[in-house]
Amino acid sequence: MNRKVLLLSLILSSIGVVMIYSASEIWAEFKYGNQYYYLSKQILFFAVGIIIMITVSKIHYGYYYKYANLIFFSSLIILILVLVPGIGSIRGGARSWIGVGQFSLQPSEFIKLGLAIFVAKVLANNVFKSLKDYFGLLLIIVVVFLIIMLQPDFGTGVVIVSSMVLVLIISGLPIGTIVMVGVMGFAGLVMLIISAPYRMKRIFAFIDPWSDPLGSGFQIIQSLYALVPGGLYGFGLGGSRQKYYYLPEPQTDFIFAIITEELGLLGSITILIIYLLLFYYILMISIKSNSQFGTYLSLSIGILLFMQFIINIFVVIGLIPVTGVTLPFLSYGGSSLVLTLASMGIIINIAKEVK
Amino acid sequence: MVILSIIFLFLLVIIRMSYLQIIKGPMISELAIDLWERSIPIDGQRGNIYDRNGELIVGNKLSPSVAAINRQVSNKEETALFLAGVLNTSYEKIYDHLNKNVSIELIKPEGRKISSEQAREIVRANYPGIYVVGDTERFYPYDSYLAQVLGFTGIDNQGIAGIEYYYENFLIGKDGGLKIVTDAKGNYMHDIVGNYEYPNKGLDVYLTIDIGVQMVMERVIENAVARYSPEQMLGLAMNPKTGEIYAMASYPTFEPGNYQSYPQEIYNRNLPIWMSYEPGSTFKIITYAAGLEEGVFTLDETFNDPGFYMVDGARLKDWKKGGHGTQTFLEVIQNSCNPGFVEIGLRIGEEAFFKYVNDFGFGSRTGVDLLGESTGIVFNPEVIGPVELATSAFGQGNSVTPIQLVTAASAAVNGGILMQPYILDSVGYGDMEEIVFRNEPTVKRQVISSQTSDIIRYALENVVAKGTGRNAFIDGYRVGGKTGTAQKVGPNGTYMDGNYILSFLGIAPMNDPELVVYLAIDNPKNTIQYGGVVAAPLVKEVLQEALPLLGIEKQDNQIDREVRFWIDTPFYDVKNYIGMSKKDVSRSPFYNVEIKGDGEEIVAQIPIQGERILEGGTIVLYTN
Repeated sequence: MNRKVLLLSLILSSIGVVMIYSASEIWAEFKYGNQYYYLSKQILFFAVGIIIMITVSKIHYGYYYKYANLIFFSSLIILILVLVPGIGSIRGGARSWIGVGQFSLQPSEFIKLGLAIFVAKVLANNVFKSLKDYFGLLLIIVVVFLIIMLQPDFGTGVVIVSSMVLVLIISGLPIGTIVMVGVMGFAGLVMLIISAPYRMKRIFAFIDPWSDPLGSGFQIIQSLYALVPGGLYGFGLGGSRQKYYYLPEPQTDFIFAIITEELGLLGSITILIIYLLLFYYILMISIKSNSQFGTYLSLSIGILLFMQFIINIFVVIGLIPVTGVTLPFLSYGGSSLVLTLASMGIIINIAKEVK
Repeated sequence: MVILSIIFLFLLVIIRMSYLQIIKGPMISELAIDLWERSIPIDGQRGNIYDRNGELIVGNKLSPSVAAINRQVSNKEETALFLAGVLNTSYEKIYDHLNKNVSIELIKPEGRKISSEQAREIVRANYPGIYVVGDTERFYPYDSYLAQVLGFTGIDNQGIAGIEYYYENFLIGKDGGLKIVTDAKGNYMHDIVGNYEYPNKGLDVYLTIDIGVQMVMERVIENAVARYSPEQMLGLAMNPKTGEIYAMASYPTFEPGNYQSYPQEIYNRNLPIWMSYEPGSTFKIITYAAGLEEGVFTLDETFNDPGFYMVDGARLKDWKKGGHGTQTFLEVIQNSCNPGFVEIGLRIGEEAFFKYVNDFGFGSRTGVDLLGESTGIVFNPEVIGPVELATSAFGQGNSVTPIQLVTAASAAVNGGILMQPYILDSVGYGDMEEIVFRNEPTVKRQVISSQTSDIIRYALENVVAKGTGRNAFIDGYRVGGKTGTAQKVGPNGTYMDGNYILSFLGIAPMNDPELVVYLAIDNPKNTIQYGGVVAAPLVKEVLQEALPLLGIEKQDNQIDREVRFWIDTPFYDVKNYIGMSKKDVSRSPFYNVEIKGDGEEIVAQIPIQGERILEGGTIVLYTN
């Protein structure tokens, strides 16, 4: 099973490299005068990611149990540091980046992994029954969410909260609590949306994008223009029209739209099935893991991956408002790809010891 | 449970994508294509205009136009300089066009309908973003003929006047376009092929016009203009049974393709429907018909004309000094005797007379499918007294349009039915492939009985055979008709001296009328001011050529009962008298020569040289 996870991760990342080139060449040429700009960087990230994935797969996952607190709190500190002007830098309206020039990282990617390890450890150590037992974990999750919202990175925040709450539910969080958390979460979402009018607009935009075609509905409309006209077989690799400046930054959040435009409905369903297989194997690994920690760690990683995946797809196909979540493996981005591959390395390592 | 949830969410994604593809697909794809494609418009050609026999009257010819996709124009200054040079216009104008913030800019009017040389030059220079697109403009094989009826089109091939405007909805084509796929910045995407959307041609319009008859009429008018230098002339030919208009002409005229170079009074006035004036004696047909229908006289009843008629203290003169003496009412119309018509009018009475005037369609539009028709002016019933009735009876006082007169006269001879004149014969498409609509004659009302109509036909044939209309007599065709000489009313409301509209209304054949021709000539110079002298020969010329064109055969039974007499009586060739002095005119024992006027030199004659005169007939000579 470890080989299957490795293979599927490599297939998805490779498709990502090809599609990132196809989606980005026009913008790359326009912005940097180099159509291979994003491609060359993604190839580099991919290479680094493979090395890290293989390295990580050799490290016994027990070490994460041992250093869980250290890993979690150091990633939390980086996450807080990114908020400090001068250390964190602003890109696309959010202070989500740390580092200088060519080499910069997204701490929110690290906290995902750090939190997954921490939650897995806590769940493995204790048998939680009541809401009181879960209170500490829920508080930590909410704190992480609020820190991320300070950047602000609504999409990542939602991915983390929903994934972790889902993990807690699977571990036995009582149903009454689930409802309460759901209500609280919903109330929180509503408040967040009201506090920032642009989120309000985004919500209306996804219901009827043509109500504001040049403003909040713009991205969804452009996404639909990529998804639909290609039909069953698509315009062929490289045949996208929406990448010609119509769809902004097509290589990141909306790469799935370009993939559908070029490879058609059949192509995109094929890619969805590859994801489905990957999630299936991760769940199997989680179920079959011979340790509680292994079970919860692979479950947390798998659900984080799935939530990010499904939220991105839902945004692209216009089922939920635009949130700014990338598609794991396929979207352009170094931190995202490297850490996704690293987490797959962890899964591979856990898989080596399944019953 | 987790796996089930994941599968459920997957299915949700696939359902949503299929929904977008299948249900929303066509709508979204269409919007997307709108977004990607820039359309270089190609005008849909207008439909052709044909005559009743399918002869092309207005067609289309190719004329290229220039369009710019401004975002693709890399060097606006240089491109503008080049285009301004080729199109003979100012640099600023072109520069403005190239800087408009639109996806595609038509360089118009400067770059519209350019020559093929200009087009070639522009294509060869190959400036980025500049396109030459196929376009058409109207083409008129008969130049200025029928111009006021046809109207013309504007810079965007839209109908502005005449048939072009009236039947715009039939004629207008659906624009097509050359679709170019562009990126969001408007650049041409070379590797993606755009569509060519075919423009659709408009429907073809077939007129009731017979272009042969029209040409005859136009030529007759041209010749008359050359000879008489009138202010205006107009002609109208119609089928009296159906109201189909065969020909309609106005002078002065214009070239529809070049209408801007003419004053608007010329291209906006379709004289046969626009002009209204006192008709003069042609109106006597109506008075005669009303009198016969009312039974106030019979043809063989006699009437004495002393040369004037006293009505309410007003002395209404006859056109002939000394009057026509004692004559039958048939001779009254043959001689166009004014006092005779005053008598008829007074016998009918005001109320009945004006009922007929209105029933014959005067004072209201005929409803012909052309723009710019006038109503004419009929006396207000409140001011009508015996004098107004009397003058109206011989054609003065009321003002009418030629088309009203022709329609009314048609009703008088066609069995008594007032038809609505019309000019649209049918609508078709695909260059005479199929007819989609066929127009039918419209009956307005029965005005007089068919028996009365029979008598009028007989009387009008006599007018031409024996009376003032004899200059319209044609051997073999039973022509009937009536002359008209109307003094024009000047700007101050009084009759102008020596300024007449001379007219003749001719109908043939009188046993079964197929064609009415009316010609009027406004203020002809160098001639005697009688409709019978000037207008009748012109109408005769039109009839003579038009009747065979319409397939109407000659008959040998002219003037039913007197045919023996006509054939048995010897003819004499009429020689030329014009230019002779009065005292040199020789008399003949076989026919009479009557000299009218007090001058010394003969300037006109009826009949003219080359015609034949019956033994016992009269040649009338007019002096200067």
